[in-house]
Amino acid sequence: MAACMDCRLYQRLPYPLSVALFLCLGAAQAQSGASIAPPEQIDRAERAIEASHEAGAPALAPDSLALADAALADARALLARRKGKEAERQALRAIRFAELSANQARYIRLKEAVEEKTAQNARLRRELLLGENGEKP
Amino acid sequence: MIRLWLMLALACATLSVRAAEDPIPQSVTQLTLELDALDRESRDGNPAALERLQARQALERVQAVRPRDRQSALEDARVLVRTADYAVKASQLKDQLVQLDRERDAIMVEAARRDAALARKEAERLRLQALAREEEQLLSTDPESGPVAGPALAAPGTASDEQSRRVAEAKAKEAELARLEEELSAQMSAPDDVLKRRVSAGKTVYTVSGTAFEPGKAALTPVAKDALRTLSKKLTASGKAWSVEGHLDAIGMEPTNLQFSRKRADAVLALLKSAGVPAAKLSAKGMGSAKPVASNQSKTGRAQNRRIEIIQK
Repeated sequence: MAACMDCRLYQRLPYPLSVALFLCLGAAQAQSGASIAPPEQIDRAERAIEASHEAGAPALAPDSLALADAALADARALLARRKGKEAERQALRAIRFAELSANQARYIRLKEAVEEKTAQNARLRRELLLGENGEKP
Repeated sequence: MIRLWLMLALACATLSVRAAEDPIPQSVTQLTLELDALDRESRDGNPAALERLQARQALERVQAVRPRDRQSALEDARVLVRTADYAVKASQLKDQLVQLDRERDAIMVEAARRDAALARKEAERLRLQALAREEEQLLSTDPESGPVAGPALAAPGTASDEQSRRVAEAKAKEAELARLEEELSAQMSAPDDVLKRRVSAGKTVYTVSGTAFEPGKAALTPVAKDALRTLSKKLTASGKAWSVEGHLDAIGMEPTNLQFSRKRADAVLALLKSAGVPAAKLSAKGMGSAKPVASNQSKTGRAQNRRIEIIQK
């Protein structure tokens, strides 16, 4: 009897209404983040942060590195809540900040190396070519 | 109707004021100017091209995205412009480091040249002193009664030995400095391949050039180490035995050259061993200047003679 009633309900539901219902469900699913951020973006962000560590960012560019770490943590949290698109955006932010910190660290290292070599050359010139008092030995 | 027109005008004015105050276009303009400046700085060699391109694209995106996404796009662009800025500056610093290395080499060459000239002068002075002493000895010898009594001669004899030793030392120092000067010059002027392969009498011979070593030393340069590590794989794979021979130019005394060439051969052997070539398959010897491959009269010839040969047994 009940089954027969279901059949009738199904038969009564108009076709356009069922299509609209299907579309609404699909949209709600997408909005809630069912399209999970590709883990590769998170992997990329992790690798970028690792590279910035290798470049010496923890000591030389801690601020940008902290922003990268925070963005990656956000991305992971969002992914856990199945908010894929937002997670992806945060992962990309993490990559950007990680690259910034790596470049900043490289720049500072090179700057220090240039300063050191400049001083070294001046010392060599003084000791080898000019003598201690700035005169030719 | 007039009221409608007034309201429209007011709305337009408000919109234009808001547009003028909107910080986003101003920031975009500022970032664009910064990026343009970076592009101008990067004309030579096109450094950090990828970073600059990414920043440029991010700036274009700020204009293209929906208003609600504009703020995050702007933040993205700002980070990318800063990244490009650091990348360009880092590239410039790298160039500066190369220049500083060259400058250092030039100072070393100049110092070696000057020391060699001093050593030459000292050797000449000692040689002249020795000649004068010999003449004095001859004059003090009585032609009729022979040389003056033994004890009287003993002192000049000892002094003469001392003099000869000092002359020899000065000459050795001179030779060492001359080689150092030549090797420094060779490294500065000819950054050639450190490793070459040839086949001689059906056997493979790898020649490691003299520029593979730090000038005047038996220590391998980082480039040479890399090249030899790569070679070690081939040597190991061949399964054959190899002899490492050190050769030098003809500057200086042969015993010193033999010793020094052996030291360099040992350095190559040690690296090959550490890179995995079985020790039983390797042997090293110093040949000094006994087997030149070019004339020792010219600088280029001497540079060719300073080498290590890894010969298949």
